[in-house]
Amino acid sequence: MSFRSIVRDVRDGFGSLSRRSFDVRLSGLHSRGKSQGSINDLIDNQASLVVQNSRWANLPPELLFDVIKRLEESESTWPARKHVVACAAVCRSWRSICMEIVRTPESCGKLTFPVSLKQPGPRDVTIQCFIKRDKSNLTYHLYLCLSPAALLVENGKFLLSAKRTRRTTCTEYVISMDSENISRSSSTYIGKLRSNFLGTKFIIYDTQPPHSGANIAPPGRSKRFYSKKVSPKVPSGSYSIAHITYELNVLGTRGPRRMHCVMHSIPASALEPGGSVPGQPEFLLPPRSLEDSFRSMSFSKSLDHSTEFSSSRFSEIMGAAISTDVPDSEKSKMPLVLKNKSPRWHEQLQCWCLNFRGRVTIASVKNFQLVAALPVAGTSQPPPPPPPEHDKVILQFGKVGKDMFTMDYRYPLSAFQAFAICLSSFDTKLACE
Amino acid sequence: MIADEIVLSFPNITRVTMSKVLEYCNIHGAGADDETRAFDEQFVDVDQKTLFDLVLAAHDLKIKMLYDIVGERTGDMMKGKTPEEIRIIFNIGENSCVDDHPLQKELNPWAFE
Repeated sequence: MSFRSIVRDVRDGFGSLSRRSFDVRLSGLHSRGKSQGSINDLIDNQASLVVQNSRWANLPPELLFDVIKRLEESESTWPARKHVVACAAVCRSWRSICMEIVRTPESCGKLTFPVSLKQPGPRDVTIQCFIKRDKSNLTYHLYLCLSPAALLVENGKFLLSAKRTRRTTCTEYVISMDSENISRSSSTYIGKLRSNFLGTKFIIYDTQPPHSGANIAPPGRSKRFYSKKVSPKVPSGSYSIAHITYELNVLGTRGPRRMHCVMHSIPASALEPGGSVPGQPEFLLPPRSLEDSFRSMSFSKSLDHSTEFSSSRFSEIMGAAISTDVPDSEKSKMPLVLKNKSPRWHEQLQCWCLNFRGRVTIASVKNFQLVAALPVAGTSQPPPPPPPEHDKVILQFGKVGKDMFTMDYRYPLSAFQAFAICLSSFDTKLACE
Repeated sequence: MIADEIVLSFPNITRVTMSKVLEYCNIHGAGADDETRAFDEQFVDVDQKTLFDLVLAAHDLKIKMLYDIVGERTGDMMKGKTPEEIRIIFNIGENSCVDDHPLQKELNPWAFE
């Protein structure tokens, strides 16, 4: 009896046999005697696989959809969420089912696929994370908080990592989705933060371009990346998506420093009713085209970093971002500007205070809360009170332990942008008394 | 002439499966309580062939509660399994899964470590 015919008999006979008689039949095969033991074992194993396999392959797609949908709803937090991701990795049709079912962090508040890290967070709640610093390796790891006691027991789902490297004229933080291999040349590289020598100005670079309407004014080489000649395949390169500045406030070092972030990839209109963040990526690691890899390599080698951070460039960008003297046609292109919320002076405690709602427990000059900065009106008018949407804390960062920091972010920032902004707070040298 | 009884035929549901479905309906007829919950737990603890037949039957007969619990049990089958293991259970051939899709390439190890 050939192996094939035995398997066929088993499969055909399956429907009409009860389990018991099936077992008997198999043992009957054994007693046939002539074949070697190992061949009989192989037949047994293959036969049992066939028993299991033949049915589920025929599950109708709409039923499979229901099963996966139910799974997605029940496995809403990590590490269980990986079961949903595992389904997406099974095959093409399962993947399209999962991509249809899984919603963005903005609409459901959950991080699922890696691209969630570059998509805006939810509007009504924050996504709570923590950052663990390793001073010996100069690395930083971002984790999603998995429970209320996440900070105490360091219970988190790994999200992103960063590694600091010092160069002659600047410091760079390479950001990666790999917790071990954090390097620009790795395929897991997703962006970086670069600071000027003093640590007062920073630029966030994304490997993916912002939306096509993003208006960034720096002249020179970087303009190349915004030209329409960019290849249709999503290129991977170095796109500056935000500028961050730190300044002493009017009280000098006796008061908290001032922070401004100009988010070129997020229009100010994103915070208005019905607003959204355009140009969101579909995947975290888009395929690189050869041409663009080459272009980004030559760009970074030849760039004179000092011109990026020139005062005139930065004030031009900042001024343009917060000016009200903008024609209506250009208003939709104005980038969102974030600034840090001013702490109040607490007379009795003799210190500056911000309400971190329990998420920050150690006083530090690095702690901050970012809110939207409204355009600066003419000096003759007093600034109007900010509308409710603009009063929300969009990013909060603060110390909770020797090398532990919390990071809470919400719409319109993404985890990647929030992480990069927090890294700048580690680096800036502006202290205050 | 009006028949005394109405015959419904379900060619896709075996006698064994139908009797299980009727058993479920009889137990749940009076509403849910601790006993029915205990019943449900052992009711879905069946081999894959039976589970599969129940999923299809519950869907065809539109019995939501039954569909929910067997659907959940089917989902449980996938939990904790690698994509390869799920492929074996569902008999998904190599040619429908091996591809260069960007999502595929960025999942490991981030999602599974």
